[in-house]
Amino acid sequence: MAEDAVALWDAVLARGIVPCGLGARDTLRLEVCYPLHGNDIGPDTDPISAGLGWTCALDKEFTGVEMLRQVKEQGPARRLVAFVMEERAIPRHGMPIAGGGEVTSGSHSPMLDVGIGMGYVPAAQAAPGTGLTIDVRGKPRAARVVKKPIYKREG
Amino acid sequence: MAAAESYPDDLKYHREHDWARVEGDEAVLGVTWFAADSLGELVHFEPPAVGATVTKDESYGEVESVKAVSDLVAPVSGEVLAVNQAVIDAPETVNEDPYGEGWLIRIRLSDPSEVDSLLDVAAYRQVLAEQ
Repeated sequence: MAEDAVALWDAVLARGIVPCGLGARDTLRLEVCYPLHGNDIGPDTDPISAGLGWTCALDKEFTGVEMLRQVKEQGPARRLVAFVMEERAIPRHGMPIAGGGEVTSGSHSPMLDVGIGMGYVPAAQAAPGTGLTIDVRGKPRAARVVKKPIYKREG
Repeated sequence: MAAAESYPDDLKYHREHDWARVEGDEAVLGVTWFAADSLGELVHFEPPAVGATVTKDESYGEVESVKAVSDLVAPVSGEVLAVNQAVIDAPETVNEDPYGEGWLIRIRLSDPSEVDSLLDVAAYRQVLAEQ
């Protein structure tokens, strides 16, 4: 049982497996724009604004459906967008985006070798190609909204 | 490839894991193997501007890995003469060669007597032993 954990782990490694932790997993999910609960979505967000409307059957009745229909009908005030840094900097969770937005996830993309992230911005700033300015610990850094996913392996 | 652990005995050390190589009235600054290893592979170096002033015991820039950001603490005060563009372009150079190609900035010392307050390698190893 528990006392066998080390032996099991060593046996797995001996097969040539490379350990992979949460940091690696986080860059993978962020490159493909999978939202992380607690960062990008949570009790204070709604699926329409997060771009997850496809998961909601608004023609059915369920708790909260009226609010979601209203958001959909009026159009969300803010949207969860993906962005790529245009200057050398790594965006991080909680950094302000000029114009009233906020970074919800950010990291360095190993595949693209640039800073990438997701965050909520006012709907007027949400179109791909829109320039964003992110406050990286007091320094304004340029980014650009991109279409999701940020990175997708060919083939 | 990350470098093997080492702490050259010709350097002066600061307990925040920064080193200084004093050359006359100038010094080259960087971070120690311990700092680089603790952070993991560096992916960003935020340098000060050439001509800026750095102050002993205060932050003069940042290095960042995928998981963490760390302030760079100046072991001595002075004016920035040069920043290492090779590290800006390839921050992992610090992990590969923390005391050589991975140097960060060169400064002109404003108060050379500050060097006396720095740790020698034996004293720095003592700091590491207490971590």
